[in-house]
Amino acid sequence: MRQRESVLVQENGDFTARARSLERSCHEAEVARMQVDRRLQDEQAQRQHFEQLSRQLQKRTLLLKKERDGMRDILESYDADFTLAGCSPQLIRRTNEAEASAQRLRVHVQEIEGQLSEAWEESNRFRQKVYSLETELAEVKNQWVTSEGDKFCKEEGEKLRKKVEELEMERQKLEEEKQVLKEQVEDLKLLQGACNSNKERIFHLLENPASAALQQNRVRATELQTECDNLRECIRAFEAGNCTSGTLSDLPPPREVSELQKQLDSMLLRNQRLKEVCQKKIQEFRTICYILFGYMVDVQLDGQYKLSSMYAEQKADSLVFKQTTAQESGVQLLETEFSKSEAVLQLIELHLHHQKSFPAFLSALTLDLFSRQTCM
Amino acid sequence: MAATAVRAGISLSGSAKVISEFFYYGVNNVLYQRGVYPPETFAHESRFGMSLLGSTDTAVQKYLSNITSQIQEWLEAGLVRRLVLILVDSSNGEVLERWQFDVTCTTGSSQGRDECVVKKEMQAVIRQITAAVTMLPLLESPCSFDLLVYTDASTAMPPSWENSGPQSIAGGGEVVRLRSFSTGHHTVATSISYRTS
Repeated sequence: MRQRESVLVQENGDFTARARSLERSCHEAEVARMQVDRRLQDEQAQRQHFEQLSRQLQKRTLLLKKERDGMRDILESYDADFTLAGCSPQLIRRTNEAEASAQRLRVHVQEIEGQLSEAWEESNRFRQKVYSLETELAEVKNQWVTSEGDKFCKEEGEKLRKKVEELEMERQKLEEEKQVLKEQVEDLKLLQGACNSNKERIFHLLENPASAALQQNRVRATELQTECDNLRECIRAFEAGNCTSGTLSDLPPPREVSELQKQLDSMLLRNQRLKEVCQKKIQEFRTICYILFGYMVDVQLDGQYKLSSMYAEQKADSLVFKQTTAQESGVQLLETEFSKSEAVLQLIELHLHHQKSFPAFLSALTLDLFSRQTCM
Repeated sequence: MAATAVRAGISLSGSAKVISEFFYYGVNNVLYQRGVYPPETFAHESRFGMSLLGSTDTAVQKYLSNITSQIQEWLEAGLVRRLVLILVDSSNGEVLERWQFDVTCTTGSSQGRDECVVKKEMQAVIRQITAAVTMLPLLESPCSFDLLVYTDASTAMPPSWENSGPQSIAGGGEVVRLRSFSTGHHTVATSISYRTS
C-alpha cells in the first residue's frame, strides 16, 4: 500500500510538473503570439503608409508625365511653327529654357522613380517580414493547439490528481493513526521504564539490597564451587588410590581402610556365628531343663519367666515368676489363672508361704500333676 | 468578622515531604505484600489516617530513609521524574516486577490542595497497591529490591549514588495502571509492570 502510494505520489508529481511546464510553455507562446500580433499590426500600418505614399508618388509621376507630354506638344508645335515661320531668337531662347526645364523635370522624375522603387523594395521587405511573422504565428498557434491536444493527458492527469488527493487524505488519516499508535507505544515504553537520556538521568544508591543479595549469592556460589572442586579432587585422589590432597590427610590410607573393612566383615561374620551357636546352646539348655526338671522356661518381659509344666492338664496352664531384689529369695510368683486354682493355692501355701522354697513348690507341683496324669 | 473557614493548601515543601513519606510506606507495603522480607519484620504504624506497615529491619529502614530524604530534597527542587521499585530475583538478578511512580512537577503558579483530600487520595492508592498484589504472579524464588530515581538531566549525582540503567523487564512484561494523586504541586501516577511466565 505504501509502495503503491509512493508510486502514485511520484506519478502525480511527474504529471503536475509536466502540466506546469506545458502551462508555462503555453503562456510563453501566448506572449510570443501577442508580440508577433503587435508587430504585425505595426508592420501593416507601416505598409499602408508606404502604399499610400507610393500612390501619391505615382499620382505625381502621372501629373508630371502629363505636364511633360504637354510641354513636348508645345515644343513640337513650336518646332512646327519654327519650321514654318523661321527661327526667332526669342523662340530659340524659350525653347532652350523649355528644354532645360524638361531636363530638370526628367531628373526630378528619375529621383522620384528611384524613391518609388526604394519604397517598393522596402514594402517587399516588410511583406516578406510579415509573411515570416505570419508563419511564425501559425507555428505558435499550431504549438498551442498541440498543447490543447493534450486534453486526454490532462483528463488522465486530473483523474490521477483526484486519486492522489484521495490517497493523500488516506495517508493523512493513516499518518494520524500512526501518530496515535506512536504516542501509545511511547506511553507504554515510558510505563515499561524507558528513559529519555537527553532529558533524564537514572540514579540508585550504590549499596542497595538487590546488589547486596546478588553479592551474597555470588560469594556463596564461589564457596560452594570451591567446596565442590575440593570434593571432586578428593574423589579423584581416592579413585587413584593415593592421597595427596590436604583435606585427605586426616583420613587413613585407602589400603588400611580396605583391611579394616575386611576385618569388620570377618568380625560381623564371627558375631553372626556366635549368635547362632548361642541360640543353639540356649535351645539345648532349655530342652535339657524341660526334660530333667519338667518345666519349659520362656523369657517373657524383662525379668519375667513363664514356666509351663510338662504334665500340665492344659496348654495355657503356666506359672509366671519375676526376678526381684525386694524378697530374700530374689524371685516372686505372679498371679495367673493356673496359680489361682485350688490345688496350686494349697501347694503355694505349704511350700512358698511356710517352707519358702521354690524348688520344693515346683517339684511338688510336678509330682501332683504327674500323679493326676498317671491316675487317669 | 467573618470566620476564616478556608483552609490553606499544602505548601511545596509540605508536598515534597508528604510524597516522600508516601514512597516510604508505599515501598514498605509492597515489600510486605510481595513477601520480600518475612512478615514478622514489619510493624503497624498509623499514617495518612490509616494503619500502614513499616519494616523493623534496621538495614531496610536506613536504606529507605536515606533514599526518601534525598528524594524529598529533589522533589522540592522539582527534579524528580519517576521513582521505581524493582523486585529482583536474588539468584540471577532478573527483574521480576517494576512498581513505577511517575511524578509530574507542576511548580510555579499552581496552588497546593487541601491536605485532607490529598491524604484520602493517597489512602486510595495504597489500598489499590495492596489489592493489586492478588492479581500478580507468585514470586517463587527469593527476591530482593532496589529503588531507581529518574531525575532531570541537570541533576548532580550525590556521593554514594551511581548511574543506573532503567532495569526494564525482559520482553516488556504486562503493564497495569493504578490510581494517581495530586498535591497541587506534584502529581504521582502509579503503575506496575511484571514478568509473565
